[in-house]
Amino acid sequence: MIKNFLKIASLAAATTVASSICVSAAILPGMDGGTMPSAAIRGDSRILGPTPSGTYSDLDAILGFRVLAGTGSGFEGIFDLGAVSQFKPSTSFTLSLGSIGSFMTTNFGSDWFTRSTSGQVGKTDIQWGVVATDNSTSFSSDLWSSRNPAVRSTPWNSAADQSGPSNDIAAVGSVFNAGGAVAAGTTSAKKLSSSNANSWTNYQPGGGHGSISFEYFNPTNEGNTNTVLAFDQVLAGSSNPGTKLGTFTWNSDGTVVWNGATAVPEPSTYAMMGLGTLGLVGLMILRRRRAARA
Amino acid sequence: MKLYSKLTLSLLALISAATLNAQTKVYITGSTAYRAATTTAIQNIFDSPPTFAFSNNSSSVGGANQAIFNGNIGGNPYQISTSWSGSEAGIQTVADATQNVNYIADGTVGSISPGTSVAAGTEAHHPDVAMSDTFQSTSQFNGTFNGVTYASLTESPGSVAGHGSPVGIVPFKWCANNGATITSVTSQMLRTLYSAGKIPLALFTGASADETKPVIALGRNPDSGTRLTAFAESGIGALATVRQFQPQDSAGALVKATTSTITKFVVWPAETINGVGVSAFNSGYSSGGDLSKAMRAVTSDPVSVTIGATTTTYTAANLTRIAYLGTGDADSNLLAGAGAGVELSYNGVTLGNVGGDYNTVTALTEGKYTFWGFEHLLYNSSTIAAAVQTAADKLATQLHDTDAVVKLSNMKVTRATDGAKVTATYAAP
Repeated sequence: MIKNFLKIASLAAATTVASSICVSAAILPGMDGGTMPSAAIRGDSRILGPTPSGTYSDLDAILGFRVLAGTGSGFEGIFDLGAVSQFKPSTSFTLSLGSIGSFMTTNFGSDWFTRSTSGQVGKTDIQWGVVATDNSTSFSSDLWSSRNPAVRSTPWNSAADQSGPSNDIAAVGSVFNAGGAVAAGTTSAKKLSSSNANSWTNYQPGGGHGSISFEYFNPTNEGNTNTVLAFDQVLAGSSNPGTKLGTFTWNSDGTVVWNGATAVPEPSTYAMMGLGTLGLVGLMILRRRRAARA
Repeated sequence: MKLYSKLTLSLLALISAATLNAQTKVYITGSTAYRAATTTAIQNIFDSPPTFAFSNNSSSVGGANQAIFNGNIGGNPYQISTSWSGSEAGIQTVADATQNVNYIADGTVGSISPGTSVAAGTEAHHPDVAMSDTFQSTSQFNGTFNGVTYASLTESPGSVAGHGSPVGIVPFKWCANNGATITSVTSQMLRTLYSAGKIPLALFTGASADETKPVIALGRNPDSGTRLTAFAESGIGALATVRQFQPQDSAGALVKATTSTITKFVVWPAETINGVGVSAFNSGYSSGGDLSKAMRAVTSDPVSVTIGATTTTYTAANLTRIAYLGTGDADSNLLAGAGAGVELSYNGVTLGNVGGDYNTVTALTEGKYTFWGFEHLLYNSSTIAAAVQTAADKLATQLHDTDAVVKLSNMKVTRATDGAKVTATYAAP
């Protein structure tokens, strides 16, 4: 019986060690702002987030991008990412968005991830970001936004009145909902015209609504395709700076990965690690006994 | 055989006569801001004063939400039905063949002026003509929206070349309730107000004592051309998502009568209008007439404002409400007589002239006052019946030449589209 327990504990140990490696990789600090990290530290693509509904609702996060030049000019893309509450500091996962790589290649060219032909120095043709707001649930106008740390190093500041950008984000969400069916093979991606008055593009610098993102995030909340974007929570009604919750990474295969900023192993993970350690010790004892008998 | 031929000929003659005299029915919808002027023009295109009936939301046909007119135009019998629900709703319902609008029942015959007051009708018809305060290109019902592809509508050329659509100018006003201490607004203030829905009075007065007194925003739903023009003109954004309150009485009913008492303002609830969802806070009144009456209604003291789970109570005199209105509704329901509201100057200019003829107001015609738009008479030229188009074109010319709130011929300025810069039509000195 003791033998069986030790064997089971040994197996658990191997599994737990592997898991803890993944968790450790996902919580490496200072990951945002640079170019895309290596696959080993991009997060574990086997851990998938909830599947978005394909309909924008208040307090949903949306990933939007515009096209500066090349294939897909005149259009933009928006992915509904589901409830913003899932993007916690303590979590890391790959989003369940379906075949975004195919969607991007079909609509924005096979070189969508690397193309840089607009003439704007240092910018890829596709610029992306993520936003969310509480516009009509409790009407708080709380904001969530991506941030390119190479442009702005600290989280966005809060303001007493954030209704303007909150309304803007809600308007983009309405455009998403009015924009026809979700693209085939994806859970919540749509190719949309960038000329709509409330398009994602029109709320970015140089669009129809001023020189900064969503008339609020100065100068911009977007970055290159290979930029790891920080993601901040910006609560209205206080003068406190926003809080960084984590980072979003968009990979060349289309996958989008969320890495919580301060992800720590859950208590259950610690328990599993302890159990695993016990198992390893047990395995060593077993081997020593067998060796002694031999 | 001879008798048979005579009978056949008689029958054919009867059928022919019946066909010649078949009544043409015209269904018009759209702008509530222009309903009074359009109603006058409709009466004037009949060969002689028509009989008419109108919905009892108003004491006169000019303010009614629905009406039906019967008579001859060019010697031919016509029935013209109107149902006003906003310019954008007008564009949407005319441009989408699947959409219907409720009218007073066909065959309802009222009386010659002052007409007959009847209950609002619920007989659904697809409208032929939209009166619109805005260009279709500014509207969201342009091209494909929400999975529906909207037909491109045609501006009526009129029954006389060069005397068609746009049929005139539609001026608007920013207004506050009776007793309001503010007298002016700027584009900047309005952008802040309609973004937040409620802001301190101090932003308007510059007095620190007013920091605790709220100014709240009231307005129309997104089907309104008045709303679209107001938001385009002030830089809020023609199709922007905004925050507007709903005035309610003690029973929780929407206030739309001058005799009601407003006890609370709540977030305007989310709703679906003609199949299009409008989020909470972003909607508003479907009629300029109802909004103007709510602006005239008094509030209880104290009066409350509820946002989400938070209710704040204010002394009535400390709460100011602001709204945008067409001159017809503003002048007739809000700005005249005892208990009148306050007309606000816009960017330093007051239109004034309450109840008067705006053709002679030079602040408007010379371009100093810029809160105005073009009025359009639109139809789908691919589907409209010839006899219907004949009446529509005649109506366009009647408005253009005679009955427009402000005739184009009196304007010394123009603009390319809704909210665009205003420029002189004559050579610069």
